[in-house]
Amino acid sequence: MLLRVENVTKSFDGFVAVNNFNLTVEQGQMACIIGPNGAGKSTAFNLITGHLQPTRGRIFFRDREITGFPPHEICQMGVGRSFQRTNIFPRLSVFENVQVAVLSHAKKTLNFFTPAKQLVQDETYQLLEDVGLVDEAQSISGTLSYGFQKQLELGIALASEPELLLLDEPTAGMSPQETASSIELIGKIARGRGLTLLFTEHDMDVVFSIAEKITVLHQGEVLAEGLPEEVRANPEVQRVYLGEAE
Amino acid sequence: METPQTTSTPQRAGSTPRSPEGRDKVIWIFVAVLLLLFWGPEFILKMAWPEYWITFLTEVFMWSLFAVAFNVLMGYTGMVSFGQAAYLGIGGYTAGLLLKKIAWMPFYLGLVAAPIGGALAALILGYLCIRRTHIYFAILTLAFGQIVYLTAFKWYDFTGGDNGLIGVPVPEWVQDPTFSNYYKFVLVIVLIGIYILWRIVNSPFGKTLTAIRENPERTGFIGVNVQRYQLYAFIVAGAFSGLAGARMMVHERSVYPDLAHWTQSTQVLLMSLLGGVYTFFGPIVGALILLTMDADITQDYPEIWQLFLGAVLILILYGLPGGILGFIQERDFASTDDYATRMHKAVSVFARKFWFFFAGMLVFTAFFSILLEPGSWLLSEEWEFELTAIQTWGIVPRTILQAVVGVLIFSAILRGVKAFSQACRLLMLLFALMPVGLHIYLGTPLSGILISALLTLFVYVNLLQADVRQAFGRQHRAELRAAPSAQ
Repeated sequence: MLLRVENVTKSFDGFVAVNNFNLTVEQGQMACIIGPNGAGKSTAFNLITGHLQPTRGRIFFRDREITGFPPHEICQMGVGRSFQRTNIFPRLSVFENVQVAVLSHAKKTLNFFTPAKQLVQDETYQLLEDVGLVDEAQSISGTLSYGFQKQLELGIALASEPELLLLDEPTAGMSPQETASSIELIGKIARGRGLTLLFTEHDMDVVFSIAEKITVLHQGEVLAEGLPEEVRANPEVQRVYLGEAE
Repeated sequence: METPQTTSTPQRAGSTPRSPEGRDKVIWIFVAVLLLLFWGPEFILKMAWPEYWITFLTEVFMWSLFAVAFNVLMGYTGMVSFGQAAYLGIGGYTAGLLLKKIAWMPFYLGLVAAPIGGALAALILGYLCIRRTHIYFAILTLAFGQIVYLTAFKWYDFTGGDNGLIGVPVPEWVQDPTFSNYYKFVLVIVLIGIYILWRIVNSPFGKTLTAIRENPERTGFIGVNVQRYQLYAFIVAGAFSGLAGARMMVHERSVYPDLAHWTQSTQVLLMSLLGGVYTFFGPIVGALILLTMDADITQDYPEIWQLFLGAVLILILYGLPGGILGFIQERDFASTDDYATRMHKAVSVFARKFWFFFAGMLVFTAFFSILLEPGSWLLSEEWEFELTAIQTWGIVPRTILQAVVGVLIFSAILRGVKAFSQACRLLMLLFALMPVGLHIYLGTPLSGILISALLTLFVYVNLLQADVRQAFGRQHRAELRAAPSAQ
């Protein structure tokens, strides 16, 4: 078991955003959290990656408790993530965006004197190739199209060679074509690297096309959990969520 | 993923340019600058230019180091500090106190102690400041800076209080009457200091700092302990500020609490903003400009100085938010363009910016001259009018003449540049040196050098650097001329 979230509750000044949340993700699984807006998906992610501290409950990664760890330590342990609002280094070139992540993973960021340009070029170009951005290597990342920026963010996340990759709405704001190609890319990379994937998504086609396990959140609580078919067939899920979306 | 190509141009510039392993070429620029400036005092004396220029340039060097160190914090890490002068003061007092209170203390050891003192102070104060971000951070740095200032100001037994720490023993050779040796001493130390900072900001550590500036949240999740790196940046800035502070101490052979006053912090902030915070050398340009204006205007018109500075700052912040060097370096990066379009864009952007630059310089120098000689609008007050001698003309006709001649020459050259003519590209660089000649003739060589240096840099960055240079090569040139232009 790669990730285990046990009875986690998070409340903000009395408002309970996530209540008694349980989740397990197996090695190599593609798991998905769905739920309407405000269901607590992003909060759940932020709890797992240490951006928020749970009010109650415990979180384990590879059977090691990570509750209360700061984000950078959780990242170093092998958890990568992308953010819902695109989160890149806008004034740096595409190459530098990925390079700085590679440098950090290689523990070279305390090198004060070697020109960084010369370092980890092969690794960086390999990652850019994987996410299809080699041609854009020297572009300033802030000028890229939205789809490219999402791809870049994936590249940054992959640079730390995570075992578990958390993607928060990887296709939010994309056109149908962009969505299709980016899901294909994510699936290919995850399988190629043997990654475990946990993502949130609002597009049901996407969810049912690649998820192996779905957790439905509703008002901060787990409403249903299981294989895609089971979840789709669950009457309660249909009532609160799938029905609304149609 | 295919990119549309309008022509059969070879490889798009910069598709995979891998830098070779090896030495950093920038060191040669530093060596060249050292060689160029090292005999500055002799040159100034030989040309019978005013002697105070030697001290003036020395001051520019010291402030440059301070400003570049400060910019590691502001431009590279994105932390705006209002209390950087504290480390300038601590550096000055560390060296001064050690040399004065401990008789056997060798001069050089005292100087080496200054950056260490600055770094230690930055470690302690920085640790407290980085607990907060944004405006709270800025205010904390200001508060701690003023605490340092007041400590120096009030602690009579130790620092000499507001009388300053006077009579710090410095070696004989520093005290020659024209300050030439002192100039060289500062030049060498400052260049070494700035070179080390250059290596630091381009190292993986420096890249991590830029990442923090761009997006601290994301940087945390590539596995970087953001607060710790912010503290490291604080220490680096503190150490080099301390180094700069010690140089200032040696010059006056004394240290005054004013060195740590918050107005010094805002001064260095202005230098960075003027020159460009997102560039390494910007703060140096800023220091040069600010001190030139300060030296020329404050002397005769102290009351106008603030007004003038304010006007320039407003212009910069609105017109050139990236600062002067940022404006020079900025290029149009449209990632989806093909090679031909990109190169055409590069040169036409250059042309457009060039006119802006040219007009700006003319307006700036005219404004400057009017402040210095308010009566000389149409006719010079100082000189008898003579048609053949430009310096006897008034400021307005003189500026108009410069504009007309400049427009004629440069539009011809720029047309050639747009057609990717190799010769015109080099002519452009050569003509960038024209202002020096003109200004030496007009009796204001300093501003001439300043303008020419900026112009040369401008041409260099935009027309002579890597990918654009390729476009002027014989093979690419022919293809680019044939390619549909990207107007």
